[in-house]
Amino acid sequence: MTATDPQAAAGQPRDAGDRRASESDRLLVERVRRQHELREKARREPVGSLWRTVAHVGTLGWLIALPPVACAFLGHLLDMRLGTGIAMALGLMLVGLSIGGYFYWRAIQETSDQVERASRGGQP
Amino acid sequence: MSASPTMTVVVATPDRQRIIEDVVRVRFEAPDGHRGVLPGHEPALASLRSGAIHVTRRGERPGEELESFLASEGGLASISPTEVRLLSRWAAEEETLEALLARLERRAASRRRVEHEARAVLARHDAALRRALAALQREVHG
Repeated sequence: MTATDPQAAAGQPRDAGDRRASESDRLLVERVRRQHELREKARREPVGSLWRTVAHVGTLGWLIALPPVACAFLGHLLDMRLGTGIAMALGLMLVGLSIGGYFYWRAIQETSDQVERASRGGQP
Repeated sequence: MSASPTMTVVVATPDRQRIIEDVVRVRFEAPDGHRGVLPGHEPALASLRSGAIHVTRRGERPGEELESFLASEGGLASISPTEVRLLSRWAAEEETLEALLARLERRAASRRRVEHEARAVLARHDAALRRALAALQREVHG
């Protein structure tokens, strides 16, 4: 201890050890508080609100229905122009069904990931 | 039907050792993210980051699970198929995260108070020493 230590006179931490102890306390409390908040949030909102679920189901319906209809319409236009009967309409409708199936699968995967994260209380 | 396997969690600090039996799941924070350990885990070593450790152990009734939370200031986790050994400078255990958080806040406040009082005592002693040195200099130099 020196007689002319401005830090001591000002009441500041004497050394790096004091600063480290305060910082580690603060960090620990913050981390535990954050974990507590995440768990409480997961408990309050387990999967999602009712309206959010309804909107999600509606979106899924459009994902399945829109691509084949759009592709069938496009196929119909091509059939009229090319005179191929219903071949293009049927073929493109199948392509549209595949596209819709892919988007539907991706949406289900994302929903499944959200449910899993929520059930873990926000923790991996 | 045999019960699901369990493991033992040993929490070792410099002043004590706490053993938790019949543990079915441990989750702690490592520098690269949260890690979960189940019984039968391959032997491993992991850094333990400061934060809460979530321990789930089997209850007395079938299918019952009891939770407890440990706060650690960081250290090391030594994992084997039947035991998880957590080595830390300091750790505390509570039944709920709320209780653990309250305990940590009380501890932090207490340490800040002690630190503040120690700095005040040091400042007083420092001032007294400076006065004594100044008086000595005056006496030496006339």
